Amino acid sequence: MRRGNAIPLVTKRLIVHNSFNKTLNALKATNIRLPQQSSPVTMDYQWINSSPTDDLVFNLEDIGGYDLDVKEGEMISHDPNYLIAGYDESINKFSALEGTAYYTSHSLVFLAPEMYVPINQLTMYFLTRSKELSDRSGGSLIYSLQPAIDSQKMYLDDKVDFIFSSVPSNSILFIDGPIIAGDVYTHLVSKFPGFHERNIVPCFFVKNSDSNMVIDNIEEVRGRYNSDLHWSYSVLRDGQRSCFFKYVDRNNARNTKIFCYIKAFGVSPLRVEFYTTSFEKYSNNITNILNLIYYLLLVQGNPRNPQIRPIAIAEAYARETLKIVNFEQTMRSVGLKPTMNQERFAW
Amino acid sequence: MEWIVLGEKNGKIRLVSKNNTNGILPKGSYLTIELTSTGSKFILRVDDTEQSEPYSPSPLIVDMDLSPLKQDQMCQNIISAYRVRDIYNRSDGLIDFIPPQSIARRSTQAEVDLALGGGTSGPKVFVATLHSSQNQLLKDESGKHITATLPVDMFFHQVLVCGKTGSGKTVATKYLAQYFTESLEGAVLAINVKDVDFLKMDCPSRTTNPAVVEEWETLGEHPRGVENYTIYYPANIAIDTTQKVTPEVCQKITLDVTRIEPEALTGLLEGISDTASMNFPNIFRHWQEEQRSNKNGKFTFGEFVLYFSEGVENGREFPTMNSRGDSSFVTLHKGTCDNIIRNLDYALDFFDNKDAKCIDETDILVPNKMSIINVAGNKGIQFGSILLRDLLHRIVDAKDKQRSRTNMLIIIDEVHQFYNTDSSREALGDLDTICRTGRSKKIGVIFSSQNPTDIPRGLANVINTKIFFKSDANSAKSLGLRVTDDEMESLRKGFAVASIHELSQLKVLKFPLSYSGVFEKE
Repeated sequence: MRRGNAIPLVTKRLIVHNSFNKTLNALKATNIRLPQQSSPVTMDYQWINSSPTDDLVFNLEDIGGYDLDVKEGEMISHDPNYLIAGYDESINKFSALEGTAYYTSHSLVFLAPEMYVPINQLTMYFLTRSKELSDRSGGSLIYSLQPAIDSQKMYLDDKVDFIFSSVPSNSILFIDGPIIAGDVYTHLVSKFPGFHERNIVPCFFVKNSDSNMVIDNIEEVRGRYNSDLHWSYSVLRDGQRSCFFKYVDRNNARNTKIFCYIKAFGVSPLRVEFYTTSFEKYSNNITNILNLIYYLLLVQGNPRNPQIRPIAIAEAYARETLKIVNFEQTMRSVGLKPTMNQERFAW
Repeated sequence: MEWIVLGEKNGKIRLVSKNNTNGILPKGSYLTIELTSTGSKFILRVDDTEQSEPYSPSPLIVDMDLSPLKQDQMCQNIISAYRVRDIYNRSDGLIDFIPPQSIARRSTQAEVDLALGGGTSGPKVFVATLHSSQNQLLKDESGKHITATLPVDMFFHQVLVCGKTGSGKTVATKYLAQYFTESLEGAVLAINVKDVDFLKMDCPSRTTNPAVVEEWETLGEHPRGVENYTIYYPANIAIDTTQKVTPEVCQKITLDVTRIEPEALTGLLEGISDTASMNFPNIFRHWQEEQRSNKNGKFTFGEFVLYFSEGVENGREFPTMNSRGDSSFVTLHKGTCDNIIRNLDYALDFFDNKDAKCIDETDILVPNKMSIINVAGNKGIQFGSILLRDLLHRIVDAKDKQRSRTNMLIIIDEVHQFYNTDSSREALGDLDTICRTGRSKKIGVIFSSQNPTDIPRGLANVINTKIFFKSDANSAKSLGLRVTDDEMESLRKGFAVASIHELSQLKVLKFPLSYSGVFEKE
């Protein structure tokens, strides 16, 4: 993890995925009218991350709180030998009669010396239940009987590919959202060796979760709390982490992760998750990383939205880059006409 | 360094700095936007400029005595700017848009010249900026100072220079005077009322300040004294040579009773009524004409004092002659007579001094010559006011009758000091006429004062150029300058806010150090 060399140079980029133009051209060819107004999509991980009842969760340390060292975290944040990155995304949905377009900005932000360096990727997919439309577009308009779920799978695929291709070696990578279980997990697992070979440590963050992995599985706390966050909020003091827990999917022994909760200040704690292999490989550095997380939570300093700073900045860039492409203008430029309602209520 | 156009709001173009810009472009700077698609060019003047923090970091981390992320400390410069000059070819009567996301850069000297709209001949000054109590000289991308050329016509539309002591107004006036003498081949007449302010302009300025030297180099100039330079001083006053005034350029002068304009003598009268002031010149004119015909022009001011005293003893009835030559009689009140006698007695040593020269317009209206009348010292102001009035009459007359084509610049330094007697006020009253007709006669006047209220009422209306060094902001505002109290208070020496005749876009400027007569302490 720690290197003697300077961190690699990252340059700001905006990548337009080839899905973008392909989808636009297909919309034009099939004369589909998209509405002007979009609605934001909140990623729902529950369907892919729900825990089977026979999952196994056990603690790797004594149950309780462990102090974090913010000064240590501060030092690491200023250490030029670490490249720190944060990932978040923003998704807009355009619902038309013929289907739904998903317009996504994947956003990575690196803490380069003196400045944040963003890399963003824009993708667009149109999912339709009409096989005929999809066939007519040669598959550019995607046939799907479960557009909400399929769109999220596509999003996850893009996310993993984007991160994998954009994050340089020797990075600590903070990702908003949990480690995914289920089918998609298999896809992610296939990338682990690549991450590890390149010395990239992915850390995942979950906030506002109603997960009950700890309170359902750990004997000492069972039945006493509403959720894991309720438990961790009650037992942790500011600047503490909980003990580490290991989650194992009994149905698929490869699906494992190690997590703990961090309480930075008097608001709901966050869950930090590691791939088991990452945790094992970088076990000597895990404490440092958690100290760094604590520091970065304080840097963000927003009790209404506890978030680590690189992810918060990535989120801001994701939102902004979605605005870069003037959607209505783009529609017109490829010859797509707005719907009648839009024309009528344009002003 | 570059800025990105965000759009227009309330008539001003809003811009934000690009990443490669690591500072705030101060108010008063100029930006240029070029549109390659249409070939149009827009020059903007920064009217408001501020720092913005795009990441809005929380203060929590620093409050906990932890160091912040450097990345969070990134700042941007948000600018509001006026369009001051558009250069485009369209002929349909519309005005080009400045599209958002256009790139602006700092304007070059040529572009600033275009924006200011000034000519190429005239005294050069530095375009300056004012932001957060800091004055700076405007620079282009290569770091060169941006200059502006003050229009020559400015001189003949009258100039007011205001500022507290030490703010730079006299130095600026010297700079303008030297330009007028050397480059316009004009004649300068300056009234020195204080110390040796204007008495050493035959000597090159001296400084070790590298910034001043750099400014001179930018202008391609060097320190030098004024070559044709004479200091005139009253014979009854000794010039202070201990302050290194060159004795060779000093000329003792006296008033010549045989030639003096009768109206100029009102400068002598203090504490008498306006009616008596009107009668006195006519009494003197009658006596002067009589002496001219009877004594072949050989008579003295002492003889007039005797004549007046005898008249007082003989019933106070005096023959008079008005300016048309009509004769009459007037009887003065005893108290008035006593006052006049006291004033005449006081002025005896202004006249008819041997070894002293009597000067007239031919001594002043000389191309490339700078004449200084030193009135600093005891009785100096009274002498100066009589002499100045006489000279002004003669200069105007010479210009009216086209006996001279030399451009003339009259400088009244420290007007407030010169204006503190009735006599000098009379002299300044004559300037009113000159100010109103100066443009056609090519006579300019520079009033230099600590406070614009020192300028005779009515004159302020005919002064077209106002230059305010550090002084009272309300005074400047009352004369139409847009400046805040803080901005005025923060003006450093040599920097000024201004409203320049035919150069309305120039708001903040700095005068170069005069090439002559300024000696900075080493």
